[in-house]
Amino acid sequence: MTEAELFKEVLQGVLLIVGEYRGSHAEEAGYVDRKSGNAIRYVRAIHLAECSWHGHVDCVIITERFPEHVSTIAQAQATFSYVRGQRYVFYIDWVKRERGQTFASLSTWGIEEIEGGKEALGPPPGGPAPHNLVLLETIPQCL
Amino acid sequence: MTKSKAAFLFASQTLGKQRLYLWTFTFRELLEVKETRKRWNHLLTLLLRTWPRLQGLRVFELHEKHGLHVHLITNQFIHVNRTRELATQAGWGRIHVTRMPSEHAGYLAKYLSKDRPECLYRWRLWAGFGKGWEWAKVKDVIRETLFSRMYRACKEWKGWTGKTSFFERMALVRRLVIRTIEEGWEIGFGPGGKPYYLCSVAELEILEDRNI
Repeated sequence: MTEAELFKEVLQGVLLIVGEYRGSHAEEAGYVDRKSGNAIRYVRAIHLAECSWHGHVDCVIITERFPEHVSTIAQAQATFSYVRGQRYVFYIDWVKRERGQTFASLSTWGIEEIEGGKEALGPPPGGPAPHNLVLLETIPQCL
Repeated sequence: MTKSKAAFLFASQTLGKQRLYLWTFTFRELLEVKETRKRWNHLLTLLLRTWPRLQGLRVFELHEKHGLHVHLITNQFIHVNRTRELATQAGWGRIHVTRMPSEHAGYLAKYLSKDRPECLYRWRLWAGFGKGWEWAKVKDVIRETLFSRMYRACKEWKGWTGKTSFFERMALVRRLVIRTIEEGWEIGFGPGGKPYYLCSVAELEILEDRNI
């Protein structure tokens, strides 16, 4: 997706998050009944994306549910073709902010790379943070 | 999926080993939710008095136009005309019943996926009834996710008991979940596979909070 296409979608009101990809984790989540031992299992992925939230860098936890044919962690991991540090568009179904953390659910449109997208803007490793950005670690989150 | 919905699916699996019937009970007029619950308790008493071996599950559904009504799955054929008489006695209106393949027993779980209306806050949206069977309870359901595994690891590390500083604990676990994914750490361990208690605050990149 080019930046022009992205801009068009933003103006159309498509629900999406643009952020720097930080990593993914595939897991077999589910529920187990202690009494009967029955289990309900499903494979899902958690993606981390860093974006700006009211002037500071925030990490969004994006959950992805897979279609039925993706039934193992290995199959789920095989879908992770994203490069850390690169900016992507995450199409989402919903987003919520709960106690200082942003959560979202990935829609079936998935994740798209921004063509020609430069790596996320930020200071060189070890360099000072831009003056308008405040790292979350410096703010007590539990207050 | 919520724990309540998972417990319902487990309960419906247990019930689903038998021949099942799906019932819907509605009212002629729109009633207040508390009045509906009262009438449901009355009807259930009458049903169990008439068919003491009746077992099943009930789900409340707050319909946009028709108010609160009740869906039931029962494991036994009960005569519809007799049921209608009892329902009329308890102040209910229309009844609908259909046979249900046992593999569709989880169908009613869809009503548990809807957002809970405010007037049903703290209500049991579903419940089992009847003697001689044990339906799954929410307290018996264990959630297995990355977060729950890491919470257990942190609980062990910090020796958490009770519910003190619950939200601070959640924030700490969430921070560690993010670090674990970003750095590719083993679940429940810090950098280099070190247990949390051997890691410094700087290594884990967390804020030291004396409350937790």
